[in-house]
Amino acid sequence: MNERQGFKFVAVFLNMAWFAVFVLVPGLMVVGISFMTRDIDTFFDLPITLAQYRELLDPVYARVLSQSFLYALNTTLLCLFISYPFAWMLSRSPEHRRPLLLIMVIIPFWTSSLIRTYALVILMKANGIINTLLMNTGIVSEPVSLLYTDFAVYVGLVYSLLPFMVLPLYAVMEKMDIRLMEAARDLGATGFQVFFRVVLPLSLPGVMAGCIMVFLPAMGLFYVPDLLGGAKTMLMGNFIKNQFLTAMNWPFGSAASVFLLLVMGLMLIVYFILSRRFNRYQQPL
Amino acid sequence: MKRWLKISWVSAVFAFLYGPLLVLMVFSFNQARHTTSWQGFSLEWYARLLDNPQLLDAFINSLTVALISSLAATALGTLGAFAVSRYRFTGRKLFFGLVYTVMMSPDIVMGISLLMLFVLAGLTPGFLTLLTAHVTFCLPFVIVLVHARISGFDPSMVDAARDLGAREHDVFIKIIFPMILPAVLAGWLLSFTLSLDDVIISFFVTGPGFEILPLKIYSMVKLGVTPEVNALCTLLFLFTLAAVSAAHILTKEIKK
Amino acid sequence: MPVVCLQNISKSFNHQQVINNLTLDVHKGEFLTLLGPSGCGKTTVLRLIAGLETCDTGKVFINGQDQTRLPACDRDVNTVFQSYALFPHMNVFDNIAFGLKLKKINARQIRETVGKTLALVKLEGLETRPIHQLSGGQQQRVAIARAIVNQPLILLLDEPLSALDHKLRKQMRLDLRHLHRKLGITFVFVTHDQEEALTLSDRVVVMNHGTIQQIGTPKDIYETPVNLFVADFVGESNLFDARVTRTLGTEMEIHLQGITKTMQNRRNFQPGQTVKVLLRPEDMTVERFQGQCPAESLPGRVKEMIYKGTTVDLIILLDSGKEVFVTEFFNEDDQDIFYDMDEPVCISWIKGWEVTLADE
Repeated sequence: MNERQGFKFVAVFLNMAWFAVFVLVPGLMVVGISFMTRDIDTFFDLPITLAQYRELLDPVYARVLSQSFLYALNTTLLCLFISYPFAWMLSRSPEHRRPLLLIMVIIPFWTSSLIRTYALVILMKANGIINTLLMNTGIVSEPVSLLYTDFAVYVGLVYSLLPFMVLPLYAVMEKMDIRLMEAARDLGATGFQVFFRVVLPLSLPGVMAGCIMVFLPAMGLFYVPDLLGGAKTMLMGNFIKNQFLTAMNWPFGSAASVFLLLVMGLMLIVYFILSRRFNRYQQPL
Repeated sequence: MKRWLKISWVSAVFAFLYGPLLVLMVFSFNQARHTTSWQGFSLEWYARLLDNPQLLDAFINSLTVALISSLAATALGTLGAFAVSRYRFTGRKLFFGLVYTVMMSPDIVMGISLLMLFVLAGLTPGFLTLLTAHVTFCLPFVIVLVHARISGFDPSMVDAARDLGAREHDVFIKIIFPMILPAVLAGWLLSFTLSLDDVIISFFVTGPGFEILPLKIYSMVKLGVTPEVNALCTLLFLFTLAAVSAAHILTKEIKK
Repeated sequence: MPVVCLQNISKSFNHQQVINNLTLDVHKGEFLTLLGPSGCGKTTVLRLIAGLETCDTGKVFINGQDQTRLPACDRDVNTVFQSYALFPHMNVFDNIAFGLKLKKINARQIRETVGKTLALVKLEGLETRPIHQLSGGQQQRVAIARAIVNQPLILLLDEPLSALDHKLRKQMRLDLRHLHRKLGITFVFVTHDQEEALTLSDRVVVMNHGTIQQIGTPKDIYETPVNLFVADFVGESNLFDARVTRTLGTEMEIHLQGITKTMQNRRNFQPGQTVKVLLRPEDMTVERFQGQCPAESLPGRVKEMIYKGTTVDLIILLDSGKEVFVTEFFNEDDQDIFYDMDEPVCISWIKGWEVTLADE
C-alpha cells in the first residue's frame, strides 16, 4: 500500500506543481498586474487602479479593440459559412473514404500556421503566382495589389483557421443519428425544415466550439497582419505584443489580455450551456 | 445535380487548403529566384539551406527544444493522466480545469504571462525559458490523449491482474502501459510537432542568443523572400505530414 | 473447518451501508450461490473474499487464517469477472498463463498446464487467437480458464453468464456444474437470476440490502422461504392475506378470501394475527364447477390461458377480485385442460403445500 501511495503522490504532485507555477501563477499575474500602474524600471508598481481598463475605453484604443473584434467576427462567420456544408458533406461521405478525407483536413490543422501564411505571401505578392498568371494571360496589365490589404488579412486568417472550424463541426455531425432526419422526413418535413428544425439545433455545440477555436486565435494571430496586412491593420494580438515588447507597458497590455480572457470565458459559458442541452437530447431512448 | 454541387464544394475547399502549400512546394524546386517564371527543376535552394549556418543553427536549436520538451511533456503528462484517472485527490477538478484552460487559451496570453513570470523571476529569456514554455503548452495534449485512453479501460482488468497475483508495478508495466502506449506515442508526436511549429509563445519567451526556426523564418519573410525559405518550409511541411499521419494511425488504435 | 469464514462484516461506500454485519461460512468443495437483486451487496461480498475490497469492520478467514488485511494478489482465490476482463493486448495463451508467469513457473510446465486447462474448457487449439476475435461464449471460457489454471482454493464467479444469450446460458450452466464436480474446488457464484441459483447450487444465500435473508439448499429456499422477500424473489408466488381465527394444537384455522381453512401452524401463530399465505402456481388445483363451489375452495373465472408446451398457465380472476396464477401440467390424454374464457372454476390447493408467513 505504501508503494502505491508513494507513486500516487509523486505523479500528482509533479503535475499539480507544474501547472500551479507555470499556468496558475502567470494567469494570476496577468490579472493582478492589469490593476497596477506602469513603471519604467520595474514594469509595474502601485497604486492599484482601474486606469488601465479606463484607457481601453479611450476612443483610440477602443477603435483598435473593436476593429480587431470585427476582423475576428468576420473571419469566424466566413469560416462557418465555408465549413458548415463542407463538414456536413464530409460526415455523410461513404465510410471507406472518410478516413482519408479526415486526415486531409487534419494535416493543415497541424501544419505550422506561419508556413501556411507564408505560402499566401508567395501567391499574393506583386510578382507572385496570381499576379504572374493574371498578367501572362492578359487579364490585367499591371499587378493587382493583393498584399497589404484587408482582403489579404482576411484570406490569411480564414486560411489559417478554417480547419479549426471544420473539425469540431465534423465531430458533432458525424455523431448525428441519421434516423432523426429520416423521422422528420417521415413526419412530413421538407429538406429545409429538416435542416432548420433538426440538423441545425443539434449541431449548435459544434458550431460554438468551432467559433471559440476560430474567434480567439483570430484576435491574437499577430503575424498574419504583420505579413499580409497594411500598416493600419492591427489585431488585438499586435496590440498586446506592442504593449509588452515596444511600449513596455505591462499593466496596459495585461488589461487588454484580461479583456481577451473575458471574451474567452464568455464564449466557454455559452458553449457549456449549449452542450449540456445537447447532451440531454442525446440521451438514449 | 446535387452530387455535382457537393463534390465541387468539397474539392474547392481542399483546393483552397492545399493549393498555396503545393505552390510553395513546387517553387522550392524552381531554378529561378522569383516566382514569376519557371526555369527548370533544381535542388539548388535545398543545397543553399545546408550552407546557411544561421539557419542550420536555428534548426538544431528547434529540434533540441522540440525533442526535450516533447519527451518531458510526454513523461509528465502520462503520469498526470494516470494519476487523474486512477486516484481521487483534492484539486482534481481544478487540475482538469487548468488543463483545458491551457488548451483553449489564446497563445498570446500564454506568451505574455510566461514572459512576465520569467522576467520577474530574474531569468534571462533563452533555452530554459523556451523549454519550460513548450512543456507547458504540450502537457495538456498528452494528458487529454492518454487520459481518454485510460478512461476507455475496463477497470475490472486491473482487478483481474491483482486477483491473479500482480503487484502494483506489475499492473502498471504489464497491463496499463502496453495499453496506453499508442496514446503515449501519439501524444509525443503531437507535442514534438507543436513545439517545432510554435511561433507566438516562443516569440515572447526566447532571447536573441537562442534562435529557433519558426522565428528565423518569420524574420526572413519579413525582410524579403528568399527561395531558401521555400525549401525550408517544404521540408517542415513534409515532416509535419509524416508526424501527424503517424499520430493519426496511433490514435485510431485508441478507438479500437 | 469452513474454507471461508466471514465474521460480522460491514462495508459502506460513500456513506451508503452496502453490507451490514454479515456472517457467512462457506464449506469446502461446495457450490454456493449468492442470490439477490442489484444493490443487495452480493458482488461486494465476493470482492471481500477476493481481497479486492477491505471491510470496514469484521474479519475474513480463509482456510482458518485471518486474511482480512491481505491484498488480492496474495490470496489463493481467483475471480471470473462479469465483463471477463480479458487483457486485450494478449492472446488466449498469454491471458491464461498470466498468473502462472507471475509465479515464475518454468515455460514448459506453463505450456502443459495451459494446454490441459484449455482442453477442460473445450478451447483446444485457440492458444494464439487474439481476444477480440473470440465469440462471447469463447471469451467467457477463457476467463474461466485463466482463473482455474492457478488451481485456487476458491473460485469466485461474478454473474459470469449474464452477457450470454439464452441457449448458451443453459449450456454453460451445465458446463459449470461439470467443471465444479471435476475440479472439486469451492465455487462461490453470484447471480440475480433465481433459476440459475436453483439449478447450479448446493446451497443458496438469499441477500437483500446487505443482509442475509436465508441460507439453505435450493429446495429449502423454494419450498420453505422464511420471509416474504425470499418467497417473492424466488419463483412465482400467489400471496393471500389471511387472519388466524383459532389455534388447535399444531393446527390453526384461518380466514382467507371469505372462506375458512384449516392448516398446519408451523410458526406458532396466535389467534387474531394477520398472515400471508404463499402458494406456488403448481401447488394450486383447478376444478370446473357449476353452481356453488365446494367448501374450502374459491370461486373464480378463467381470464387467460397460456399454452407453454409442457405446462398450461392460467390466470384466474377470483370472485373476490384477486388474480391467481396457476400452472397445470399438460396431460395429453386429459382434454379437460383447455378452458374457455370466462369459464367458471373453483380454486383450491393440496393441504400442507402452502407456506404461511408473518405479515410484515
